[in-house]
Amino acid sequence: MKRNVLIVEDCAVMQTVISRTLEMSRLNIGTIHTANDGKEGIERLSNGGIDLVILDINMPVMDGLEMLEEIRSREETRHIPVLIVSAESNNERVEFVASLGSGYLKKPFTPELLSREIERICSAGIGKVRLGTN
Amino acid sequence: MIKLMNSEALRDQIYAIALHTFEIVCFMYPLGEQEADENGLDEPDERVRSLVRFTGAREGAMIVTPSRQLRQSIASNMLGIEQADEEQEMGALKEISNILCGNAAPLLARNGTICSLKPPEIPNTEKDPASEIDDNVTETIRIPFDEGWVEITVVFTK
Repeated sequence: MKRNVLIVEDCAVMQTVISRTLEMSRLNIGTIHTANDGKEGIERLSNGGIDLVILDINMPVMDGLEMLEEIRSREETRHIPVLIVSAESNNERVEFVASLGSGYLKKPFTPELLSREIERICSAGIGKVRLGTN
Repeated sequence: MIKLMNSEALRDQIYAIALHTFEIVCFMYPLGEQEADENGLDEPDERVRSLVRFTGAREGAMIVTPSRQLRQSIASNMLGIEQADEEQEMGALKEISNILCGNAAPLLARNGTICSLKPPEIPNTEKDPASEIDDNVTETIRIPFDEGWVEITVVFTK
C-alpha cells in the first residue's frame, strides 16, 4: 500500500529536498503534501488520507513539538507515524518525542538514513518506537 | 561546572561539523590548502550572510558567509537543479546555517543547560552581530571549496 506523506517544514528548500529524497527512495510513497507550519499541518491532517508525517521542530505559528502533541491528542490522528527531523538534538527532547511514539532524525541525514527511519517507525507502531542508534 | 573546550579544539570541532554537513547536504568537498592557495578563490560575500541566534547556556550567534558562487552552488546542489533563484539561495543558506548551528550548539552547553536556536535570518544590515554581545568570545573558521571560501563565525558570551 502506498503511503501518503505530509511534510511540515517552514523551509521550502528542505520541503523539496525531503520530497525528492522520498520520491527517489524504495519506499512505497503515494502523494506528498506539504505544510509550512504546525497549524497548517493540523489543518491538512484534518482532511484525512495521511499515512506518515515528517515534521520539523523550529517553525513559526505552531512548532513541531506542539504539533506532535496535538496529533497524539486527537482520536483521528493519534495512530499516524511521525518522524521528527531537526538540526537540534538533546536527550530530553529525543526522549520526549519517543514517549509520544515518534521517531527523531537529526539533520544532516543521508537518503538511506531517512528511508531506514521511516521504515522503522512505520513497522514499530505507535507507542513501540525505540530510540535509533544514529 | 563544565569548562568550554579551548579555542583550537572548538574551531576543530566546528570545522569537522561543517565538512560533514557540506558533504551530506550539498555533496561538496573542501579543497586542500595548497589548491586553495594556488587557485585564488573568491572571498566570502559579506553582503549576504546567514545568522542563527541562540540562547540558554550561552547567548550568541553563528554567522555563515559563503562566496557569491558558493552560495549559488549550495542551493543548486541541495535542490539538484542547474541554477537556483535568489529565493532558493537564501532558503538554502538559512537551512545549512541552521544545521551547522544545531550541530555546534551542544559544544556550548554547560551545567546541564543547552543552547536553543532561533530561526535563521539573513540580516539586511552590515552591523557586526558580535558587537551586540558584551564580553564575547569569537571563533572563526574558513573552508575553501571550488566555488570559493565559506567563513563560519560563532560568537557567544563567556
